[in-house]
Amino acid sequence: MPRLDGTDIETHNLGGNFSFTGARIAGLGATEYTLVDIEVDMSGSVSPFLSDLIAMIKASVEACRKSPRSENLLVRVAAFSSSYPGGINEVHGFIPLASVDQTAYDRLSAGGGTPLFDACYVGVGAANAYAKMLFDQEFNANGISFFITDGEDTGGAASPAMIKAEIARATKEEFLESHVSILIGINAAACTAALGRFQKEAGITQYIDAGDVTKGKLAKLAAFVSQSVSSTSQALGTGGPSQAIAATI
Amino acid sequence: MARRGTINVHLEGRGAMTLREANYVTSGGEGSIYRTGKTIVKLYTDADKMARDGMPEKVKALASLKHAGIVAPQGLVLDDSRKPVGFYMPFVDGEPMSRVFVSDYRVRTGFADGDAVALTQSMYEIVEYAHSQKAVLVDANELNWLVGFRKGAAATASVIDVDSWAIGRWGASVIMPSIRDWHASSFDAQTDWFAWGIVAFQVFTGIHPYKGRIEGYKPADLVQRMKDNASVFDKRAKMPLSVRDFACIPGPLLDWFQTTFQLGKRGTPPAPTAKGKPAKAAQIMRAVTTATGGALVFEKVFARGGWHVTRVWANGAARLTSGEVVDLSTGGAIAHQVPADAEVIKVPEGWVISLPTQNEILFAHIPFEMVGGAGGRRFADQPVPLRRVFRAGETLFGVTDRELIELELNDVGGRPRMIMDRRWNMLVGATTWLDDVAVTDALGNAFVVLPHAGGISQIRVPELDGGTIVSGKAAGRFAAFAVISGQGNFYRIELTFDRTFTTYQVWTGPVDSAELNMAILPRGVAATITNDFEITIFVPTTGVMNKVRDTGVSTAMKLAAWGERIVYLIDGAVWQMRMAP
Repeated sequence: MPRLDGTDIETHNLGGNFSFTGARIAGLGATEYTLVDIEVDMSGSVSPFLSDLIAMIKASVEACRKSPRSENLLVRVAAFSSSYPGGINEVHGFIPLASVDQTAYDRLSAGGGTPLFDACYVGVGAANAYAKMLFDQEFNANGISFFITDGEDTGGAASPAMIKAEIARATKEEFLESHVSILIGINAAACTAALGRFQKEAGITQYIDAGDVTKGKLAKLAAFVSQSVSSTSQALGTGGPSQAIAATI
Repeated sequence: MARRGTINVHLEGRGAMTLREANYVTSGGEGSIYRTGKTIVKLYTDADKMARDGMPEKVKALASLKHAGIVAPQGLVLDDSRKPVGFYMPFVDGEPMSRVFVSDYRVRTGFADGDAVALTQSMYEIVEYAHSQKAVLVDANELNWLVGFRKGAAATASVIDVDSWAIGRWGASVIMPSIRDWHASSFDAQTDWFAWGIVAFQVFTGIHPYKGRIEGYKPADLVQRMKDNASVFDKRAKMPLSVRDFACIPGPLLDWFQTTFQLGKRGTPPAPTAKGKPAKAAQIMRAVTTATGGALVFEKVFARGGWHVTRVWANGAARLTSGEVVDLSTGGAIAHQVPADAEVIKVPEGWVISLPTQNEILFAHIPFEMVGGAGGRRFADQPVPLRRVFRAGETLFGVTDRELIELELNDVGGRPRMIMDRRWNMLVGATTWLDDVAVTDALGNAFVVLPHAGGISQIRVPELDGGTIVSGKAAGRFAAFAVISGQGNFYRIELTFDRTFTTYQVWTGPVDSAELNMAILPRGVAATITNDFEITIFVPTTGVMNKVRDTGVSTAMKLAAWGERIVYLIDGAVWQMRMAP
């Protein structure tokens, strides 16, 4: 079982000023993993519902524990805001769910602009890079990335084209058996069109407008996240859900 | 999705029940699940389809299954007009089976190999019972099995989703690709055993039998590999380090797994509790790509349950904590009750072991034909009283008060004797005897004593003066030593001699401890691990060095040579390490 006292976490550079961390691969106990990356907006505009947003992240991660494949998840959570150095604050890198300390999310605070593109780029890039390391050690992996934002990008180093290239690389190079990316807008009615455009330009699998922030909607969003994670992981382990048997086999 | 408000239903044989939103659990393709206390209610989304599929009759057929591990429908659920809308079954608590595949979970909960035997035996008995009732499980994938595990009690299995079983006129409807027997044209007891095997194998080892990496297949080519019988038993298969040792699988079952998954044979498996040795020990091959672009391959060579290997000789003999010495190439016992300070050499007729006792040193000859038997050592007469025995390569030397004497086995006429060959004067009391090499401290002047084909060379090495030599190894023209300086610091000295053993090149470097974690191969290649994640492979005579960074490497691996192979001891087992092309 990984010891998360610092010795079982390694830092990896992604190029530029971007980096991420992940559990030391030699210490992993399963033979295949679903890499779950959650990038969450911590710009100043989320201040009014910051506590609900943090509660939503906690609920998402907590609900993943109920997945039959909870032991096969490596979860990374990062916040993005221009107030962080480099725009990204990695709360924790890819670590086993059992090692996640949820109190770490309480330390997040809102402020600054929205380096959404950077967050997406680093999120997918981190999954790609870690998947490559897993692949090299004969592990199987797939991935799912969530980008939760309440607004458009306000500037950063990455572009939609860079994100698109990284997403394409995720499955082209086959380190990841599959990769799903989901852009989620919350309280983002004013920029739904722009986010939809960004989704297409960046090649993100899906855009979901979660509507205005209410406790109920955030709870549903948490359930959506955990269900998506669970089904992604089951697809890795079993080759997909049970399939109808054809008349002839 | 839960229906709004309450739903009044009638449970056949139980009476009326009200289902509330709070009872809602989940929904699937066919219907919704509710839980009230110890009862689970499944309501079909399309009650008409339920009728068309003949589910009321099927539920009655399945209700006849009486087994504690089968979560079978117990009766129909009727609506107000007494129309069947679902069925009910007992609630069973348990962990999803997929969790016990993962070592992290096992460590956290104390789930051990013995629990894996108990769990798979429980699954086995469930499948056996179902077949005795003419039912076929069809889709018993890991998500349809639950584990009941409490430390101190035998692990048990429960199977759910029983309404999808084939029974009577109701055939198979769905199956998960990962447990499907892609060679079968219909679903029956044999395909159930194949599916059982897939899940049981993961319980033991943590890996699906058609995963890991085989050159030519992509990671997602699971079905193709199943069709091609390209399993983890394939010689080309490489697996992650997290895979558990196949030796944890009971022998007869391991044989069945191999013939089923790799050879494509089908049949009823032996019960997991059936004891016996496997016909052929399965090897685990693990490989990891290194920073230099090659791959380090780790292969398990030998392990003996309950006993750890403490030492490996370059001739392939290994001593266990039990005192048994075995031949690594066959696993056969060479000798028993061998003390830790014994030496083992291989001679043309068999093995010779020096056996130091309190009063004397005995020599035993074990002819090859005796290896693997209960005994058969023959004690060899020794020529003179000896203080100790020194071994270098496959030669034993007797050490007297002032001489080093080359010993040779003479086993003619049924009377084995150790006869004396060449002899050299030595300052025996001032000599430190190490592996394949010795160092004499002659009044503060260090001499390396290095046996070789031409005899013994005693070479003056000032670099060793004043230090305390705590360990050393040598082979060919290379020798390495761990030394404690007068200030108490450890350091390593490596010497590479010329062909005449008169001059040498020296290298001095750091070492963490008294232990020299190094293997030296006869062909002149050496390997050493001084830091986690890095092994240094080098050729002392040429200076060529290759530092291989790999997360699979750790200082816990104790290196040794076995012929031209680099092996290491870890967790009491012997593994081979090599670089793949």
